[in-house]
Amino acid sequence: MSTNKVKVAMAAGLLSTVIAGVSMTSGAGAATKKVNWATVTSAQAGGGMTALVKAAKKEGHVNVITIPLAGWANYGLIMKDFTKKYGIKINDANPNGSSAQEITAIQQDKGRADAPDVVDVGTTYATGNLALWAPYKVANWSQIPASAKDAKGRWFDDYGGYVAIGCDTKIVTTCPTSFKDLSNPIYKNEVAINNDPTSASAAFYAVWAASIANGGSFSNVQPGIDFFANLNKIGNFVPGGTAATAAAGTTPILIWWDYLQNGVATSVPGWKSVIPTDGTIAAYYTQAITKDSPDPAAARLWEEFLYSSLGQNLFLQGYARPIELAAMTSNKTVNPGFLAKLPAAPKGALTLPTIAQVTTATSTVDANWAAAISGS
Amino acid sequence: MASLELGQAIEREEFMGRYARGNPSAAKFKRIHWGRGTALVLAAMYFIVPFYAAMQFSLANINGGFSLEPLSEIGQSPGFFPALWLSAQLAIVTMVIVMLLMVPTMIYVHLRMPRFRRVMEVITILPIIIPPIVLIVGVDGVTPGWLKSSQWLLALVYVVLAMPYVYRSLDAGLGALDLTTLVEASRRRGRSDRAGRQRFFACSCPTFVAHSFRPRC
Amino acid sequence: MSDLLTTDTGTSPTGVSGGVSPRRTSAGALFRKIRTGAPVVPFIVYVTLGLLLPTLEIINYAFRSDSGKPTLANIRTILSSGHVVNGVRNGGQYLAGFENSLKLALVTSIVPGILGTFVAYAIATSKHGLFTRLTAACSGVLSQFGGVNLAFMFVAAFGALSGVATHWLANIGLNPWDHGFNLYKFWGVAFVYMYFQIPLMILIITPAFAGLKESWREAAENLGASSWRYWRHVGLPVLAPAVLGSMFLLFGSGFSAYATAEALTAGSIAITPIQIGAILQGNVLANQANIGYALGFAMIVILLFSVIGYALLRKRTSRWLR
Repeated sequence: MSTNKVKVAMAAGLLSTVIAGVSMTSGAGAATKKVNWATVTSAQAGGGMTALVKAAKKEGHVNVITIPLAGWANYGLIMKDFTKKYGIKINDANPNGSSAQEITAIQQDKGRADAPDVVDVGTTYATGNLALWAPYKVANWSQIPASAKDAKGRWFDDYGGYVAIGCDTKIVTTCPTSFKDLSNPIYKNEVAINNDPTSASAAFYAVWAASIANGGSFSNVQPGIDFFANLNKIGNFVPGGTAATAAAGTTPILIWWDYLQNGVATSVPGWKSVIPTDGTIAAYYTQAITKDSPDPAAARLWEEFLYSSLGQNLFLQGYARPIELAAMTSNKTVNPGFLAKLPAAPKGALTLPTIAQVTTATSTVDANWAAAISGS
Repeated sequence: MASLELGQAIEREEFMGRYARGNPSAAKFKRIHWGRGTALVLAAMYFIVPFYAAMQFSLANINGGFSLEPLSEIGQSPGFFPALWLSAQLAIVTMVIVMLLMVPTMIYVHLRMPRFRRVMEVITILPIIIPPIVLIVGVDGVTPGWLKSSQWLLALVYVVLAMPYVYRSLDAGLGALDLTTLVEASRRRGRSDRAGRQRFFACSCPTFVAHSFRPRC
Repeated sequence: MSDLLTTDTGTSPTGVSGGVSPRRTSAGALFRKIRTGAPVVPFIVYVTLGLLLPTLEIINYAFRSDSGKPTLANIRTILSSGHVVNGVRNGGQYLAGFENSLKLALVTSIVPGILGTFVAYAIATSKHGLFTRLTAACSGVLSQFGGVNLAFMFVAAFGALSGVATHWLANIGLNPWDHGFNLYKFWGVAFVYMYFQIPLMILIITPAFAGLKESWREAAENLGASSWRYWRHVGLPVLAPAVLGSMFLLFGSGFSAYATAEALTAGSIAITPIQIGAILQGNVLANQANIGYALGFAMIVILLFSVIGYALLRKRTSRWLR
């Protein structure tokens, strides 16, 4: 019937309009293809820095975790600058938390909008949880030394420092400059490390540095344990050391990261620190982007910011050694004013222990520290 | 109840008085007093000296003198007042939840299910023995996501941690109250059950209040 | 609230033989049991969600490997006594941790138990109402003390370098540090633990003195018994279950205390809670979380014994309180 035919024709017309419309939209979409930033492995692959910034701004916020708001490698200013530059809000969960808590948070907050996007952890926490990370290589990838990053881009070191001996010149007349000096009886009840070496990274590396000063090496941390056991026996060692105890005067000699010693210097007038002459070791913290990150583009932009010369110089301003320091010094992108303020680094190239060596040393300290200090 | 205790107290006074008059055992009582006194003084010193030391440490200025400056600096410490306010809020919310949960339950148990008291006691002992540091991880694992981002999760966990002390206090208070007699008495005096309940609460509230403020701060 | 006059034990007689009325069938009895128990449900639910489920979660993690597969390896690790390789010890620190924790818990339950009993007795037999109320209130507050505050107070008082009390004692020639005292070793930690263990003991044991009636003492005196004989035959037998039971509780409290020892010794003595803290909240021991949970599980098992001991002794104590 004719009405039927009209109906069919109208339906066909409607259908074709719809199909045309759909193909037009998708055609328009094909010109700016939808990028799944969660799988992007570099800014280039995602369409360039502008595309990354745009996508990140659209997400609007990035979730970081356990980043202290003040007194740690200038992170406070870094976060402020990032937000000012891109308008992206930073949500910092558990600012004074630990690396272990970061891993737990990732595992337990899976799928939530406030799950961590990026982490800043001790290196063994990153290398031991490779399945959690999304591979990504920042624009300045080549400036990161090979030993400080994962070949696939799952983790990469960001900043670090050397173990240094800090000293309150108001209480201590002659400051020690080496581990050997620490055994001097005039330092009775004065020497401390940053709390527990099985729990605090700075304390662990202090023991390792002491080991290197006493015949140990990257493969042998036991001499360091023996050194502190002896220090405790002769009465020089005090358990527990933080910025607070240094300020209170209960730990006038505190072995800590060199970049954190400067924080102590601001609250304790007359606080000086030196990198020990006989045992030096440096350690760097590690960045990674989580695989199920709720804000993948913003997470990647945050990493680009940290590894740009701007971000790396901000770390330098906080007296930490940025991982790209060597490359930046030769490119002359380093801020000379900040560089001059750093304590003199030991001569020679920066060598870091391998992950296997760190793991072995960790087990040794874990098994022997408490027994050595309690004298049993 | 009260009259019984009063009677006992009067008896005791007379008894002691008789004994103190020229009785050789009176000297014994004096000696016990002496030992007790010393014990209490030593105990007091053990508890007070660290307090005093902490106070002196905080209030001593660099030159060794006494200064109230650190106290005023507390106020300027960033985030101090918000943290203090949050602590206070959490304490109040914890107290309210604990009272709402424990008081009706314990009244009911004392009245109608005395055998359940033993079970409750064992259950409420558990938070003391399960180390909080371990409990936290377990709580993290079972908490739904929407609750995890709220600060009130802390209050809910504090309720569990406070349970042992609240239970003991309320148990002692209810035990001293002789609930059954009280309810019976107030019921006898009131015409309706409602009036009885009102009288009951009027008698027992002071005891509850006294016992409830003791534990968690 | 209709049957408040009956001293109902909460269960209804079931299975009455012969001539059973319809109300006393087992279904009816079950329904009555449920109705009687209904008001306790909120408490049960809260405790299940807040205590039981988390505990089960911990036990679950304790028996899983990193990849999530069920395993006994964690338990084996924490119970192993380790071995020595090239003069360097490997493993065995968890067993040492259990040993130290048990020793510390034992010492800080027996000594404060005895001292607390004496102090509680002094308070209970005092005639000054204000003194009694004051100490009761203080015990409540001080038993909650612990952690960084307590450690700071004791370092401020008895620290080697700047301790206030150390200076006073040094001025009279009795500097404790010169005579072998060390606040940061085992006995120093025990010394600090007493600060909250003694008030906890006072708090727990005070109700038990209500069971020791004054009239018994007077009767004993009347019959010519000396103080010693009174205590030997009347006082101690009545009090003993309560004191022992409370010591079990103190044991549990001393065993699981974490923040105080951590703040005081920063890991210088190996005790289990500190080891758990280093694994679950630290920055050095990566990828050992399940060992941390296994340690937690082990602690719960050990503490379960102290709870059972407490419950059994409580049963005997309550005999005197009726």
